[in-house]
Amino acid sequence: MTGRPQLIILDPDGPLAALLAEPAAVNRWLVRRPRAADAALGYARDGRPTVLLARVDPAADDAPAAGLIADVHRSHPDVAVVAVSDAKLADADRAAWTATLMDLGARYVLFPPVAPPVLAELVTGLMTATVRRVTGKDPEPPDEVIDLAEEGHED
Amino acid sequence: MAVPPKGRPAGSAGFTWRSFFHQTTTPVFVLGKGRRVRYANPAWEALTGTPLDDALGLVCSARRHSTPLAKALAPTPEALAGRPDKARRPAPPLKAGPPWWDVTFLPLAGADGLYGIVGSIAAVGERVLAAERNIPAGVMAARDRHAGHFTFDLLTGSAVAAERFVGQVRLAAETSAPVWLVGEPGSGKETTARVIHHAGGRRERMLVAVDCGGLTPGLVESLVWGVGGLAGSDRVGTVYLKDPGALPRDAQAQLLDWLTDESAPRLICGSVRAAAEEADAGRLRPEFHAALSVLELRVPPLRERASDLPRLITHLLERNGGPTAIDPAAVGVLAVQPWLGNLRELAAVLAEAATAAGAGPVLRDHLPHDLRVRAGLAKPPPEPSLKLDPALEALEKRLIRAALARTGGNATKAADLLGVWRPRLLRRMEALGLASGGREPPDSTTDQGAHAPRSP
Repeated sequence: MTGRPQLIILDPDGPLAALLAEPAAVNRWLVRRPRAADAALGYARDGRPTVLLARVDPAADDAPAAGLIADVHRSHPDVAVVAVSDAKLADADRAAWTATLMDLGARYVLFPPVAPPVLAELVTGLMTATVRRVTGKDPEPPDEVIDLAEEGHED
Repeated sequence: MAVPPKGRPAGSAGFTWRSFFHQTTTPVFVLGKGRRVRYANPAWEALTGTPLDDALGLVCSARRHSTPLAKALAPTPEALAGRPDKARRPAPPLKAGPPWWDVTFLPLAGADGLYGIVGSIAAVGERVLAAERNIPAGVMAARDRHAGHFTFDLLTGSAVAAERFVGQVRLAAETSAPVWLVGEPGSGKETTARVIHHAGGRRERMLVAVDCGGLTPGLVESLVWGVGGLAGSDRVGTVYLKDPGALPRDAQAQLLDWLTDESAPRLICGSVRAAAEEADAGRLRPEFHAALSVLELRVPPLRERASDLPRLITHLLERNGGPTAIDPAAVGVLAVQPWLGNLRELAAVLAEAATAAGAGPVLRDHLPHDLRVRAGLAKPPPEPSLKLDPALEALEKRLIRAALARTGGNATKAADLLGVWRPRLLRRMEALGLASGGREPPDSTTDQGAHAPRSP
């Protein structure tokens, strides 16, 4: 089962969804905003080409997002995961966190400052690669380019 | 005939295996066929802190109630099947490493089955002070659990192609040479890279996977050489480059400079083409090919592992967390598919079937229609309609939705974009069943935390 690409944002009450609203609308991504890690894992299970954005809090001892990243990577390896943190860390700490999160399966780790255009470019690039990998085809063109051959099968 | 003394088999010409093992500084232990400890040498006693008398008879299994020591010494399924094997286990009493124990199992098998297993232990694991200081224990434990998932068991199979491949992967894990994995899409190249990393000497450091085709060159550059980037980190053990030919040649040259340095991480590349083909096609710098594709391993496609299909199906169903039982008739349908998308396609099909099956076993009817058509069990769907009106309506809907999305739901601005008057737009929206008030039907889901739907 595929369908529209899906962007899962685990950032309860955070700004990530707003930062990605425009590329999500233009590319017709299905945006999911779970409030808990297990709900995010449920969305990842549904077989669509998926990018997961998870906010990680390095100050939290249990770091549920870290467990989610590992679970998603193990169970759904085609889901591209981006870890985002607000924490301003020293270089050594940032390097250690980057390496740890990547070892857990994150494709990219972002620390402040996160520029919205970079975030949009990153997620769009990962989504394009994920769609290509999962469906074997390039993503559907954005809405302003209408592929007549596809019409009649979508709605 | 004289009975030889205990521990000295007839015809052993004075050789006493116990004293032989007693002298070595390598921790050695012997398990009987019931997986009970029958012998351990002083080096083993020193490493484990357990006197032999206390350990004798200990059943070494990975059951939930087993002690950490029993779990660490538990033979792998491969060893129990009579094949030598190696496993990495957290050093008891820890439940997660580092430090780790590399336990080597040498089964003693005869024509009538397994007699016992000789094991030896190598303690490994550098202390990662930076990580211990900076990363919470819970996250490091998650990292260790995740690493423990990527073992040779993931790749093992009875098919000839799988056996040959696992042998090559074991060899790759024993070296630190750059590896080029070539395989069809979905055949498991990244998983193989992780198995090599976690079985190799750099396992205590991190594996970083870079999707070269999915990131712009600028982002790859920032990831590797940016502030706090990977090139400046001493924590990276292996870099996995997915489709390195997608990188611009300048970036390839930069990577070459970094990864050929003596202290650099190990490189593993994954591609659908051989490195030489990539170089011939001009996608890969010749020097990149020469320096960084020393070992080239071909990951077998799923169709060459047909005899492993039942085992792979069980594994993928377990991984999915849904039902794990599957009707043999359904396995029969899966067995006749060409699997051009390999394991990735099989995993997607099983996930969909498991969703359809709910809590029960996966039956033939739960499999996608096109698979059943290919197996001759269902009729192909009718050709898509060529009726003009529904197609034009769908096109109109998409254009209106796109205009509304771009204008944030403002019907006046959307009408302007579409080149029509606002009243006409509203009339068309009503006729097409689009939400009124200039707002598109909701496209996003905000979950309140409890449950996510299994399917949209």
